[in-house]
Amino acid sequence: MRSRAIFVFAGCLCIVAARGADGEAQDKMSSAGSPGGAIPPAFLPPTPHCDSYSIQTLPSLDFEQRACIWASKLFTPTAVFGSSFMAMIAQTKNDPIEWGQGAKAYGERFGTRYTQGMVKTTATFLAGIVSREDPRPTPPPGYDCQWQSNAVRVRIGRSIARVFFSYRPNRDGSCSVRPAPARTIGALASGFVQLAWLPDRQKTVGNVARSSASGLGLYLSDSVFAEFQGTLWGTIGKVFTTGKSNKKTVGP
Amino acid sequence: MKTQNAACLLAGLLSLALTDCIRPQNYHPATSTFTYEYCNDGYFYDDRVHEAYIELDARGMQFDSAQTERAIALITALRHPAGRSEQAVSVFVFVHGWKNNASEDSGNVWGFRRMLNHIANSLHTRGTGDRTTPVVGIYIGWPGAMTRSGTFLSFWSRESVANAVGEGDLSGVLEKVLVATKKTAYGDYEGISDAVLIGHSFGGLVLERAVLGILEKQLAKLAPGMELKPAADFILLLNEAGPASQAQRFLLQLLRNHIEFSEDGEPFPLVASMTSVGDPATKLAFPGSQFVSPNRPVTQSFNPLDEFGQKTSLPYNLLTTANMVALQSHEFKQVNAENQCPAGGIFVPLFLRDNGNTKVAYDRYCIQKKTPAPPQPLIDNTTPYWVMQLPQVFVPDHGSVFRDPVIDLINAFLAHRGRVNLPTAQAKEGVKALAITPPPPPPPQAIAAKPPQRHEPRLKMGTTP
Repeated sequence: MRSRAIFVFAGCLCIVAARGADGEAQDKMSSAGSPGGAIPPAFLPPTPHCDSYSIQTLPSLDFEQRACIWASKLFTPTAVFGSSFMAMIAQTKNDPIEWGQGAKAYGERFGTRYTQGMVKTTATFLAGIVSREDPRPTPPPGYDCQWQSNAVRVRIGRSIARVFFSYRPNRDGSCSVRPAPARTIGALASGFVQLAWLPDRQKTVGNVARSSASGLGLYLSDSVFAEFQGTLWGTIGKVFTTGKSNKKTVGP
Repeated sequence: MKTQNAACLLAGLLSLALTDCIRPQNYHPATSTFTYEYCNDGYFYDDRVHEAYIELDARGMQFDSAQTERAIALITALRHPAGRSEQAVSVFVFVHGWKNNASEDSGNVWGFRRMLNHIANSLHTRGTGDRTTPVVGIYIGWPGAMTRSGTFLSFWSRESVANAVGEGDLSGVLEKVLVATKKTAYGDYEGISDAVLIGHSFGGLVLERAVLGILEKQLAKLAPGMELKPAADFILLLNEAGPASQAQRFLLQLLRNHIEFSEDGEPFPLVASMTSVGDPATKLAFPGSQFVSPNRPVTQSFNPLDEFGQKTSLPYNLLTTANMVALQSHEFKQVNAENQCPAGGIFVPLFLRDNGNTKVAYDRYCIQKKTPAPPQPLIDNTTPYWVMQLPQVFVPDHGSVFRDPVIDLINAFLAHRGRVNLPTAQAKEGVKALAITPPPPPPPQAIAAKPPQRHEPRLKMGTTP
C-alpha cells in the first residue's frame, strides 16, 4: 500500500516539475522580441513544448513532449473510472477472496488496478525512449506511410500493426518500418507488477499472461478506435441531422 | 502507516490541484508583437510572419489596451513602409476556443502560428502575385481554459465567459484593427489590404457576438439601392459552439432588409458558419450541455411557425447555427473540374504541398446553394450569412482546424472575390474570368484620389421585397 502511495506522489511531483519547466520556457519566450519600434525585428520562432497541437502534429517528439504525454496519461478521468469499474466487478466476484469485502477491500482493488495502469504507462514511456518510437496512437498528419487504403480490413490491419511496428517516411519518399516494442513491454510490465500484491495462490504464469494480454488488448483497441474515430464521428454526424423545418402548411 | 498513506495521498492531490487551475492573466504584458523568420524544415516553411496578441479578461475588458495599439502600429507600419508607397497587408484575426488561451502552452497559439506560416507561404509562392505582401496574425486571447487537465465541467463557466468577452471590448478592438487594415482617405474599409476573421468553437461565439455589432452598425448606414464595402473580407466561424439564436436574429435582419452581398450577381458570404460533419462536440455535446444549462433562455412557442419553420425557440437555443438544417444555405459537392461548379458556386481545390511548394490539386469541391429538403422552410436562407456543413477532408473533427485544406478553403473564398493570386496549377485548369467593372466615381467629399477599384463584392440593400 505504501509503495503505491509513493508511486502516486512521485507521479505528481514529476507533473509539477514538468509544468515548472514549461513555465520557465514560456517566461523566456515572452521576454523575447523587441521592446520598441512598430515592426519588431525578426527572430527565429520559439520552440514548441507541450501544447496539444504540437504534440499531435510534430513529426517527432523530444523527451519533454514524451514526458508530457506520459504525465497526461497518469491521471485521467478514464483511468480513474476504468479502475473503479474493474474494481467494482472484482468486488462483486470477490476476487481475490483473501481481500474480503468492504471499503478497504474496494480500495485495495481500485489501487492495484490504478497502479497497474500507471506501471503500464510508465514502462511504455521508458521503453519508448530507448526504442525511440512514437507514443502517439496515430502518426501525425502528413507523416503516415503505412498502407494507404480506405478498405475496412486494411484499416484494421494497419491499426493493429501500428502497436508493434513504427512506419515513417524517409526523405527519399520510401517508408521505413521498425519494430516498436514499447507497448508490448508496457503490457508485460503491467502483468508482472501484480505479483507484488496478489495472494500467493494467484501468483501464476497464467495470471501474468492474462493480465499482460489484457493490457495489450487495451492498446490494440485504442489503436483501432483511433483509426476509426473520424469515420465514426462522420457517420454519426450524417445520421443525426437536427433542426429541420416543420410543415409549411401550418404557417401563415 | 495509515497516517503516512493519507498524508502522501493528500500531498499528491494538493499538488495536483494547485498546478491544475489556470488563473486568467495577460500572457504578453511587455511585448505583444513579434516577427518570426521561419526556415523550411517540412513542418514550417521558409517565410516571415508577424504576430500580435490582444488579450481580454473574463469580463471582456482588455488586459492592456497597449496591446491593441501595438497591433495597430504594426499593421500601419507594414501598410505604409518608410519611403515607399502603401502596400497591401494580409491580416488574419483568430479568436481561440474552449480550453485555450494566449499562453505558449496553448495548442491554438501553435496551431495558429503554423497556419499563418503556411498561409504566408501559400500567398507568397503562388502564381505571379506580390511575393512581399506581409502576413499579420492577430491572436485574440481570452480565458478559455480554466484547468490544465481540461475538464468538461468548465463548459458552462467558459460559455458565460465567452458571451461576456463577445460583448465586451472586442467589438471596438476589431473595429480599430479593421480600420487600421483597410481604412483609406476616401472611405472606410476600401483599402487594398485583406482582413480575414476566424473564430473557432467558443471563439466562434465570441467572434459572432463581437462582429455582428460592427456589421449591424454598417448595415444601419445602408439605404435602398446603396452599396457598401464590409469591414472584413471574410468572416469564418469554424465549428462554432454558440446557440443558433444569435445567428437567427441577424439572419432575420438580413432577410427583412433584403441585404445582398455580391459582385456582378456573384454572391459572396458576409459571414460563413461552417461545422465539420465529424464534429461530435457541437453536434452532440453542445445540445446536451445547453439542455441542462442554467443559462438557457425560456422556450417560446411560435404559432404560426417562424420564418425557418420552427415551432419553438428550443432548436435555436440548443443547436449551433451550422448544425441546424433549417438555417443551412449551402453545401459542399465534390467535383472533378471547376466547370462543374454552377454559377454562384465557389470552387475549392485542395492542393498537395511539398516543402512549401504548392503542387497539384488532389481534390476539388464546389460550395453551392443548397436546395432545402422537404418540408421546406417558409423562407429559405438566401442571406449573405452562409451556413453549411463542412466535409471531413477540410476539418475531420472539432479541434483539428489548423490544416492546409482550411487554408485552401480561405484562399478559395478570397480568390473568388478576385484578390488572391491563384496557383499556376489552378490557373491551368481554367479559372473563371471575373469581369472587372469600372470603379465607381469617388464620393464628392473624398479628400484623396481613389486608386483603381478592386474587384470585390459589396453590400447592397435590395429595393424589392
